[in-house]
Amino acid sequence: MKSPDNSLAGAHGALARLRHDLRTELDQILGYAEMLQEDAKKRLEEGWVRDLEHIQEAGHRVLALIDNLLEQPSAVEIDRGARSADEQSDQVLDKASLLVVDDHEMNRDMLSRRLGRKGYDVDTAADGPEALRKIEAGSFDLVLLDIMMPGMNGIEVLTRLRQRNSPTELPVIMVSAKGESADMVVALQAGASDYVTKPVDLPVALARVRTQLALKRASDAAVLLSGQVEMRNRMIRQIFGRYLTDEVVESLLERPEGLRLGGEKRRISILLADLRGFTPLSESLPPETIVALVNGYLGIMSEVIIEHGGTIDEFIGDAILVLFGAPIERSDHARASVTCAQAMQRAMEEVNRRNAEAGLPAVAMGIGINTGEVVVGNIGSERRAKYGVVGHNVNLAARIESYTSGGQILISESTLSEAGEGLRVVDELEVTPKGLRAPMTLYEVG
Amino acid sequence: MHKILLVEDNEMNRDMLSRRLQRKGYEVILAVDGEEGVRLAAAHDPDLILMDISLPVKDGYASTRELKADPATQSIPIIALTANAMNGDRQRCLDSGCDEYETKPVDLPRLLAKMWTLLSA
Repeated sequence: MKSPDNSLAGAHGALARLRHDLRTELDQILGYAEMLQEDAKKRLEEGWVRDLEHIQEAGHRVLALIDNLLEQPSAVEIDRGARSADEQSDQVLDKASLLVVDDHEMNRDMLSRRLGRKGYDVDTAADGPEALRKIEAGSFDLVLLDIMMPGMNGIEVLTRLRQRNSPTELPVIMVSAKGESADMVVALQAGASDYVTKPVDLPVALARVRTQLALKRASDAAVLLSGQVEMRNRMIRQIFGRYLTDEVVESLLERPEGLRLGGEKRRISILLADLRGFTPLSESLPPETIVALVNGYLGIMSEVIIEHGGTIDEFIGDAILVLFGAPIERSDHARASVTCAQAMQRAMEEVNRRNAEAGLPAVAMGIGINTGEVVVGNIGSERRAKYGVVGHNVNLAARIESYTSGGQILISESTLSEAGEGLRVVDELEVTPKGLRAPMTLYEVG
Repeated sequence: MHKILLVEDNEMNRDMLSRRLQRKGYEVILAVDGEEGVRLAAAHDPDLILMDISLPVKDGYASTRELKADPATQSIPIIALTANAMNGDRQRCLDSGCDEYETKPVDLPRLLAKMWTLLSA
């Protein structure tokens, strides 16, 4: 026997060395036997194939005995204190509930005892139906499932149990004898999480059981976390959904920084629209009629605005404040705002057609657009916040709009220059809004 | 054809495994101890190394560390082979730099699958 690894020590060390050397010899026996078996098969020597199989089976049984020898310290009177640190660390395991399924009592017994010693709660089942019953009734964290069983075989059991339990809910480690690799592929495809071969190499089996349990725990945690994230997102959609389009809300959710209060400076285009001459009208009509009229108009306009990628920031009575370029950036915000304004004016025909049908008076809308730097962000307090916009350019948009008459679209110089080629400018207007030192030119778009 | 360096001190195991690998279509170079293993790895640049852990002169851990520290050989994948099958062994193998780990007696289909995975990476 060759010189051993120096880290082993004491009586336990001697046993481990013995085990090492026995496994080394067994490796030869099994290896040569397998090679000869391949040759025998090629030569169609059935008798030799069978005998070699017997040699291999005997070898596997010896292997099982060797492994058992080390697992039963009482049988060889080893002082528990002399166990290596490695083995002691095995005992520190989290509790998990395992089910061992095998038609051979010896296999069930061996696995359940060895796994039980490692701290797991182990139950057993002798056939497929019993296994399925127990899984249904109990709550196992993992199943060790023998493939070769009479009646319902392991693959069938796996297929049925996968109808109810996903691999992350209930990991299944298949146990197969050597030479059943075709079945392994079928098993893996049917949803097996991993496999071990018989005779069961316990440290390997343990490692695989631990891995599957760790994966399951991680997946359970992930599911919980995603559930929490989903709840948060739902809440956010509810709060913001009333003010913003779905698209905008989704983009905010994707960027967590989008939800922090606090703002950023950005160059955008601001569109303000309202029903011209509406105030006196609203005083002469009953409230329900006013609301119906305004809602009808706002409903149609909202559709148009959303179609053009604008963000409705606010309804102020019959006025609509729309942003282009925030919260979602776009380089063509100026052009988009003008195109939207034109579409909105065209949609007034529909608004008035419905009004006429309902016996309501016709109305006319004015739109003012300005482009410039503003501050955008979640404005408000922790309790109540909305995506808002501030800055003198917002006020300017309102001023521009106030100069409109029904059916008109007035835009600022900055909007005109940024909107690019091809706008149909039908008139110019020079105004000096209060608070501005110099006059400004407004352009009417047709 | 892939070139495999097999580092195994036990004559029978060496003979048995090298023949099985050759039957599967691999070219096999043999080393009988850790030192020869390191030397042959540098000289022949194999595609993969099967390294027995309990070797004379220089054990498998030390040999692996040396191979992984040398730029000339560090990219060669190493599968540790060991008849010791305790949990600490696996971690020690991985800590010394092994890419994979297999216990003896060798489960050939599983070993071949691991080799294939490392060789195609």
